[in-house]
Amino acid sequence: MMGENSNHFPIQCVFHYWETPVQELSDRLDALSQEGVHSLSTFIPWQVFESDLSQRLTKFLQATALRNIQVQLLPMPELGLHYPYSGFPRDLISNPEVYAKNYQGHETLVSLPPNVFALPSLFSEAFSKRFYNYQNKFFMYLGDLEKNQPEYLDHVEIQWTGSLWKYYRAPRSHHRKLFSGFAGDRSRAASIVYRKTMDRIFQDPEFSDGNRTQANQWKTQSFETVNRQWFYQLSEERFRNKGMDHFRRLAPALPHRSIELYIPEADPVSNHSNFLQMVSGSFGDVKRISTLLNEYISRATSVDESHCPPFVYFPELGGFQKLKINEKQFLLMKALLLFGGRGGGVFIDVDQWIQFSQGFRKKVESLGNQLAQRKLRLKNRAIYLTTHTWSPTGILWDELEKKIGKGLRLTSSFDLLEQDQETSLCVIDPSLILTRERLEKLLNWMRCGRALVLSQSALMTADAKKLLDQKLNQVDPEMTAFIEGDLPYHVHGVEDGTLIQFSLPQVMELQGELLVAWRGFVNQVLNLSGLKEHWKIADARIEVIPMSRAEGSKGLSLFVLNPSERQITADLFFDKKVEVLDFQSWMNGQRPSINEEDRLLECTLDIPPKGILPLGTYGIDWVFERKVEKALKENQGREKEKASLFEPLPGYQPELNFEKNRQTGVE
Amino acid sequence: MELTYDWKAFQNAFHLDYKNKGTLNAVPAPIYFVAEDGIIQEFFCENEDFSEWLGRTCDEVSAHFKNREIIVFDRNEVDQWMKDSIPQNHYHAQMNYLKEQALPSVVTPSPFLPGSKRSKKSRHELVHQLSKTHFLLEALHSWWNRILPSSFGIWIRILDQDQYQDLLVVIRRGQVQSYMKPSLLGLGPGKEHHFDQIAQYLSERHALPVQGLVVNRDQWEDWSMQTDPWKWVAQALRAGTLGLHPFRWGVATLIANKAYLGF
Repeated sequence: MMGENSNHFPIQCVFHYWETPVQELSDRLDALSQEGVHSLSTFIPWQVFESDLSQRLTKFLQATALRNIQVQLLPMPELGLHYPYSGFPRDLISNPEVYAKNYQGHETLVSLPPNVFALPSLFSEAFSKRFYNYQNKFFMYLGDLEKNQPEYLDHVEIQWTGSLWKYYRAPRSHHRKLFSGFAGDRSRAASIVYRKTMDRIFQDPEFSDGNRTQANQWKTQSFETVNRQWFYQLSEERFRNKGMDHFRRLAPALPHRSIELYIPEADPVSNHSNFLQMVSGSFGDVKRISTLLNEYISRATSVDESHCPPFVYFPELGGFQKLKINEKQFLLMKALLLFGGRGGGVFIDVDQWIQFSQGFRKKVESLGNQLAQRKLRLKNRAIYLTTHTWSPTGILWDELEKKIGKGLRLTSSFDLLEQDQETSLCVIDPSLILTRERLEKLLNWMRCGRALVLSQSALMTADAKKLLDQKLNQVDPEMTAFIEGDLPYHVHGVEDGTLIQFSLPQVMELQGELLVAWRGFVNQVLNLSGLKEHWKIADARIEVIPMSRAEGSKGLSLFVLNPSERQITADLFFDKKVEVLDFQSWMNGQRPSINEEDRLLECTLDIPPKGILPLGTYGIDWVFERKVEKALKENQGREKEKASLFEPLPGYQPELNFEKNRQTGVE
Repeated sequence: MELTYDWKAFQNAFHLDYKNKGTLNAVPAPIYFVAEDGIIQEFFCENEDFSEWLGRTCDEVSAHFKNREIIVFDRNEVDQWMKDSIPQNHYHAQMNYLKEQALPSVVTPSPFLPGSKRSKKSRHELVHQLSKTHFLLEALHSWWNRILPSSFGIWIRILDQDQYQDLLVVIRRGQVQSYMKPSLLGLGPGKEHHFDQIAQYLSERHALPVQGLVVNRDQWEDWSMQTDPWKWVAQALRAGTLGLHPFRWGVATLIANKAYLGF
């Protein structure tokens, strides 16, 4: 599990406090309470906060405190807010000098109402100055409130979102994959900070070893893309950490957490779709939103060494509002399973929420409760470690995704990898720069029978290379194998883990034999790491979301989704005989004694249009992954004992974190 | 806080045509594509999925869908139009600007689709679809603006059983200038159903003449989904189910003209 132990309720109703006149606030909140809404999330649009002369926010907090309504405040600039320019100050956002630029030198546009506008650069000096000033004012406001009216904040939590970083992507090749366009801000301001930051990073002895020529090697043109990606990742982490540190100083007692918020219709990738919907006179593209959900959920981010639970927001401004009711329900349930299953959930405008029938809301709430209590969760099976979370990935990712599906997660956080207690495979993107410390973390992760996949030409510092050579020299030659082919690779049994080193082919054209070779390689990797496909569905239109129960419980639930407009009859095949029962009985832990001949190797399902069919199964078991989990737990116990021996030692300090040094290097 | 551009309220009053969505049509809906160098980048078609065509050429598409109406936009042009729409003050104006830019591509088949011709009928339908505007906004943009004041407000109250929804649209020189849910707090308690007083209050508050329209939701939605509902509007005015506040003979005559003379 990648730090996904969240107990927050996965459905969060969004209330735009600035839209309701203060005099009507009490009545409105009472009406919502009567509808069973006892928790509200609200964005704080920058411009609204700065021009809030009548203290609407304070009055809102006062009114919610009186009614014991839980409030989550989201103060970071986000898209999809019902305020002009999504709350960015108009004078600032109208200044072309602050615009972020993509790699083609074009602005990144947002086309969701209430305005089409260009995204500002978070590196721009003019922007940063104003933004930190606003942030400071907001924190001081909270600090004052904490001191003078602490009761207003009794039920308040601050939720930090990732802001604009994920939207800095060029629309190129978006027709293939959401994250396939070059990511990052190429504005002039960003480029200046980039140069400075990379200079500082490569001054580190590990890169330069006192030798300037060696340091310059890392700055050559061939490293430009990789370095840029690294820089964007570090800048995002620093931006988020900086805000949190500042907040902790000014409002120390207020509970807070970091989340990752996705708004599919505000994503620049939706611009062309939004345009076509507008000219065709239609609104809402359920298929598109559904696809975006799948792509978002594959990414994992962290702040301060903690996982940021993923959330999706369906604002009332876009096409979602105009979808048919069954389409909305389908998307909401799907998002709940995917995002709630990973400790996150769904943000939905409160008016939109109360439009759903009581019956549907009850169903969602019941599922939400199970997700909040972690009785149901979406298990990670493999991790793909890369330099930048929002940058494109290659063939290796694509093929793994096809095989592992929703069990595969991409991250650039070594912290998340260190916390991981359930995956048995980690694949390193060939563009990731490995330092000695990073490699140590990877080798440490590899214990207990896990597999690590690394390119032979991986970008490593001299120290990291030395360490790897040392490790490989210690490997018993009988525990090493070389597999020839179009994509040759070595398999090393390092301690009790498996290191797979493959050679990147010279030609990267992904057609014909080479594509077959990649597929073959991925299959071999999955076999070596014990990851099997336990079921297959014969219809490509159908999606399956596998959900595990709480730790220690057996069985697996399969949510079978039909995103199409027609009823589909599809066959579900299992790799061995399994017991299939209805979801509720399965959740209740019932396991009727079934004869061997009643177990199924396949079953035929009728799934209604935009329907979700939940099944409970016994017999599909990720045996190998369970073994890894068990071994990790035992190992963890031993390590705890070891740590407790060190704790009383005076002067004992954990080693300095290389990553943290990097972050401070980004000024 | 009164939002100067309350898109939610505006679209709840003027963009109701989506409610027809999903109704079965004998003629298949046109397929809209965005292409770059003749390669399909994005698509949209009501209730149909064309994902498998992404990344393929326009030639392949036109060869396969010989009997379908295909509209292709050039990606670079779309991006430029979007960028050029930024200086417009609000989304309604931006939307109109984008539609204007898109019109030639709808009228003339794309150069990416050599040999494809568009019949007069289908061209008319597509243009109609693209330039379709809410009947009230269309009238306000028509010759009406020559006789109406250069600045005025339309306050629309849509009654929905015991609830209601208000929208104030400010028109300047025949164009929508702003749209908002008006605040009636200064009016005093118990006056939220005194329509003439509300119109007068809004007129004083915004320093422009305001014409109030009070109508039932069902009626309003019904009219909004039609291209020429003026006959029904006039009948409702006569029957008293549409209220003009204050009642102005001039406005009633304009409605009657639209209904019975067609202009």
